[in-house]
Amino acid sequence: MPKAKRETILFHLLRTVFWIIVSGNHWLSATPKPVKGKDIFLKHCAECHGNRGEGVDDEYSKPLIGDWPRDKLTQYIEETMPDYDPALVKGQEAETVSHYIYNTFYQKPGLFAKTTKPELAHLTNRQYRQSVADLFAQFEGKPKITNPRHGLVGKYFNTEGMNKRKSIHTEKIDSVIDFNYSNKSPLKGMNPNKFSIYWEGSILPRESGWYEFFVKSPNGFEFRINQKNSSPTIEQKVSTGMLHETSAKLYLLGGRPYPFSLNYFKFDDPKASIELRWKTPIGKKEIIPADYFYTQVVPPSFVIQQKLPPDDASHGYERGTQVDGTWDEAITYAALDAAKYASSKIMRLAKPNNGEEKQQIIPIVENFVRFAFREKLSEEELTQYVRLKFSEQEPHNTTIEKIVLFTLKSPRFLYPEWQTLAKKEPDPYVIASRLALYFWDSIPDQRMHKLIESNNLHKKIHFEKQAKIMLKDSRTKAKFTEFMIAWLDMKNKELPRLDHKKFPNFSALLALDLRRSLLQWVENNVWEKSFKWNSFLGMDKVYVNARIAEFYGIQYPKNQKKEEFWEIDSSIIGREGLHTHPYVLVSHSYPDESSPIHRGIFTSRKILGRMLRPPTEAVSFENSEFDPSWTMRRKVEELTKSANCMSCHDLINPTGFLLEGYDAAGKKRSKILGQPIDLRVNYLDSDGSKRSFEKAGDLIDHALQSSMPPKSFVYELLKYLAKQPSESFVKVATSNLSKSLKNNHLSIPDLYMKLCYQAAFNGINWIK
Amino acid sequence: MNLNRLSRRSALKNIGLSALSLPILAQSTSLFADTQSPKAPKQRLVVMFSPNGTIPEHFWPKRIGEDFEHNTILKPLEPFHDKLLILRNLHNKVGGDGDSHMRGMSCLLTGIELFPGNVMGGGGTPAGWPKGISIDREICKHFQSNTETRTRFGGLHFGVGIKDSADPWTRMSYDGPNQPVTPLADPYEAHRKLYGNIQEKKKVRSILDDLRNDFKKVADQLPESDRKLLIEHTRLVNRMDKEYSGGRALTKLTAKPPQLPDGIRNQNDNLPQLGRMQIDMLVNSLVNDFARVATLQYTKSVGQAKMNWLDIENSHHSLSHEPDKNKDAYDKLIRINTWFAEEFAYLLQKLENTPEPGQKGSMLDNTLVMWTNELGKGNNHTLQHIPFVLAGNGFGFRMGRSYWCGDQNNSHNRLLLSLAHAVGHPLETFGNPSLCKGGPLDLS
Repeated sequence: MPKAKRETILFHLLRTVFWIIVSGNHWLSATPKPVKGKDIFLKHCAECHGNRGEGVDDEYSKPLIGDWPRDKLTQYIEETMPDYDPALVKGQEAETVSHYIYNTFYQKPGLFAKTTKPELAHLTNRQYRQSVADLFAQFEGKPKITNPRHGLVGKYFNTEGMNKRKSIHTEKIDSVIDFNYSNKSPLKGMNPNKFSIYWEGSILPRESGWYEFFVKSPNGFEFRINQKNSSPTIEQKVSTGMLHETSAKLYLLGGRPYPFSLNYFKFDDPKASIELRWKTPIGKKEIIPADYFYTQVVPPSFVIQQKLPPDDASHGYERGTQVDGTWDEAITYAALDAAKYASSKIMRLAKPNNGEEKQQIIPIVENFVRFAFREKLSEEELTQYVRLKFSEQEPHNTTIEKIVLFTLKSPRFLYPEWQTLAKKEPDPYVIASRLALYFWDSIPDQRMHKLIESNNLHKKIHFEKQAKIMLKDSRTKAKFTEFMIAWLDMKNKELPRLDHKKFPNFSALLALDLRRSLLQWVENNVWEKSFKWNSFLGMDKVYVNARIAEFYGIQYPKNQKKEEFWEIDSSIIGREGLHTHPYVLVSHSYPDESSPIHRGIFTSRKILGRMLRPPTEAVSFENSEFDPSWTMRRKVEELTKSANCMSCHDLINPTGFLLEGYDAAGKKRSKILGQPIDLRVNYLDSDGSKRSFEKAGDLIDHALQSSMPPKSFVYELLKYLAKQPSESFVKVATSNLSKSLKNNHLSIPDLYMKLCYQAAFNGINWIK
Repeated sequence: MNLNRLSRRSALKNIGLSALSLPILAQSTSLFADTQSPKAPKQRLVVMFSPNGTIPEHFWPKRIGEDFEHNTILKPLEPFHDKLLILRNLHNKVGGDGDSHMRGMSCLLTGIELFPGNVMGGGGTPAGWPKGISIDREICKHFQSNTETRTRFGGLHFGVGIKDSADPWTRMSYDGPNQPVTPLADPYEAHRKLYGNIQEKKKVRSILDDLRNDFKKVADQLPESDRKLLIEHTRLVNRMDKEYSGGRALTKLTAKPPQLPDGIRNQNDNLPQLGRMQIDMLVNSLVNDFARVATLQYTKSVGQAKMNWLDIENSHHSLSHEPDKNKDAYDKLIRINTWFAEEFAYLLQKLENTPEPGQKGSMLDNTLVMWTNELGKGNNHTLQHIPFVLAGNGFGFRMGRSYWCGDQNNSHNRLLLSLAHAVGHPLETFGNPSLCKGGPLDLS
């Protein structure tokens, strides 16, 4: 035992002895006075939990709150507390102190809220990249898919000489780029020796991160992504005569379309083929699937390529409440890149025939600063930030670079909430900035600026209308998808891998398809008005493609395109709710076995909205240490049987055991080790009621009746949207919203909108 | 520019050494003790390229031997007469696929055929990249294989007015078959590669005073309790200011990095300035012994620069196609090639004006600078009589003459072979072996 711990125990023992001595007379008197819960708490508990349950650094640092029923709390105290000597508080005392804790603060997390207003925070990485991209979109046009037709437009040319287009032979839509023409022509009637194909369209990645693109061909090509008329992303005009693969890696913001083109040609080379692959942030190298291509061409976006240090996510959401030198330097380099880009773009906008260059440039630069600062700048400020900077001694492009560098490093850009905290006078820009930040992680767009300037965005009613418009923006959907990725435990998690011997057909590409199946289900359904809380937890549809269908034994419909996903009733593959989606199951499994613990934690937290403390000591599960004839259920029961473990595992284990009807790959099973599976479990709810469940679906039925899951979802979403603790938004009607969600009166999009809207007005009382 | 007027003082200033530092440089050898070996004299190779052929009648000296006169185009090189070796009668005899421009460019330093490929020029057959390494990279590899001659980069490749596309018309250096080397076309990028990001740091520092004020203004408007993060961030701004003010990584340099003028955009009209920036960096990186091999490539084969600074509005390559009888075009091409000679002279002058660190004499005494072109003449696309003007004493050739390379095998491969032999790398052949008959040229 460590010395410090030993000393602590000794101290407690001595203190107890002392207490018995000093109170001896009283204790020995004939009619003992009933001891108050508060006194017991102060005597035995406050040293680690604080006098008011607020927690004590280096002991139990978190507030003493939770969602256990009172009986369980009492039992836990009885068996384990105080941890240095559980014998000290027993029987009536345990009951009394439990009663005190339960009623005084245990169920009142609001008592411990450190702040009731948003903290000053800098832009998170996503907010930073998104804001910079949208800042440039004001000049270059907003990339938006209005024609949702998948695929790429392929223009097939007969050529003469080296890639000189003689005539167009055919124009058609190609779904993927994976062609091997060998020594033949791509289409009938084309010259097999000389031809070129120009594919054009857009690519719409789902999530933000680093994407690597690979082009493989023995022929010539120029590949552009997010580039228009500028240097190619990959250039290989000169063929080497050999099959050759080249790649390029770039950061892309999810939910944002990027222009795409591939100019491919064969000129007397012996063979012809071309394949286009990518590796997504969490993915496996693969031919880019058709779902990500659109035939429409959009303008390019400026996306910061600088690597940024990860945000602090220790509170379950990314937040910018700390600054350090690495971050400061990274955003400086990012700003330098942006400055260079801005300068070349803005200089190009100045036309020699339109008068003096400086006079043309200044208004553009002023707008840049105004949009970045999310403000209407005064003449004096514009003079200070922009006009005075231009001089005869410095080339204009250098001046622009310096202004942009300053702008993107200024606290006015980096700390978007500073105005909320500073401004006392009515200012619609404060609300507009918060709406853009919460809805999109971005800055107010040109439209909002115009509305404010024309005095059409200053009343609550105007903002309500604005919120409805913002909800429909693709950036809202992109942000919600990224929230779901975090909520579903997928963020920055590698694809699950299963033991190859036990699951020989479970490939990385199948894992990737399952991940997509889940996200596609979210994206395709959640924005429908009819899609409510019950449809969300219930998940009555599942998306499958050829690979998934084959693995899970689903019949392949006629006329179904091989590369596309289609929708099936989830009962066809034995699904009983969101927690039984194959990806959720397989990503919460061991490589060779199901994992009731991982599945139970996910289900308890997300589906049931229950609070779980991190374990006091980490115990790892070693399958080899158990009798191989035991079921996983038995092994877990054995491993977690101690009272300390059971304080949480009495919740985790039953919810995990309910999913034992699915193997590690998420396939439905009826037997384990040749024996029928006993799925029956007992579950203790937070209100103390005991329930029996017999199948995975029972858990969803219960969750839909419970107020905790929607409440937890609302809090999680609010934190994600605002990047602030949910307690700082006291004016957001989280309880009402949770109730409406539970009663299926509120759709998830409407919840998103109301959270953003109410949070934007939180703490602001000067707008009517 | 009149190069005769380029003073020693201004040349030193251009490379970042003030007159004040000159006595110290001249007297103190210990300053260079870290980087220099006093034993073996250094050898360096610099290749400068300009495109689209020359005007032979105004280029070649009329006389062979030491007392040759400087023809119109080579007039700017007159001050270096004693250090020049003008090689006549050398031909690029590499045949095979590719048009003359492609073979002219991509076989110029490789001396070997191009692979069959898909790049088709105005004539000939389509071709790809060359089948072998170029002599500059070969010598660079040789230097890098020896600890005595190894340097930080080995070779540096600068470009002036080079566009993004990569094909056999735009690359002359190769690391091996199918391995083109991309020149550094943007001086600011080159500066960053050579000296770290001091240009950027300078730019960042220029806005920090404004930024500090802005932080203060914003913080002043916030309630006391919300200022903490901004105060912390302001500290980081101050720290950055301090860190960026010192050139930590550069303290061991023999010569300070050249200061580039701000905001020179990489576009046609800025070619003269861009070129000078690249030359300044090239020489500075040799002084600092970053590399012992360098190339300087002006535009590319078929380069279409419009030399407005010479009052020439036509594109260079288009002009080069005009027949000799078009006097206007003919005159313009003489001026264009003379301008390249002036730039070459500027490079030589810089090397001449810079003392060899730690040794006697100038940088030019230990460097061989070679100016060449992919064609003999533009309008007939000939690969005969390729211009090769050698300068400097770095390779032990006998300089100060115009030399006729004989009539036996006058393939330019023999010159490439001579370069290898001169640096103690006695290859038997280089490029296509059949073009190496007779071995290296005797240039002693």
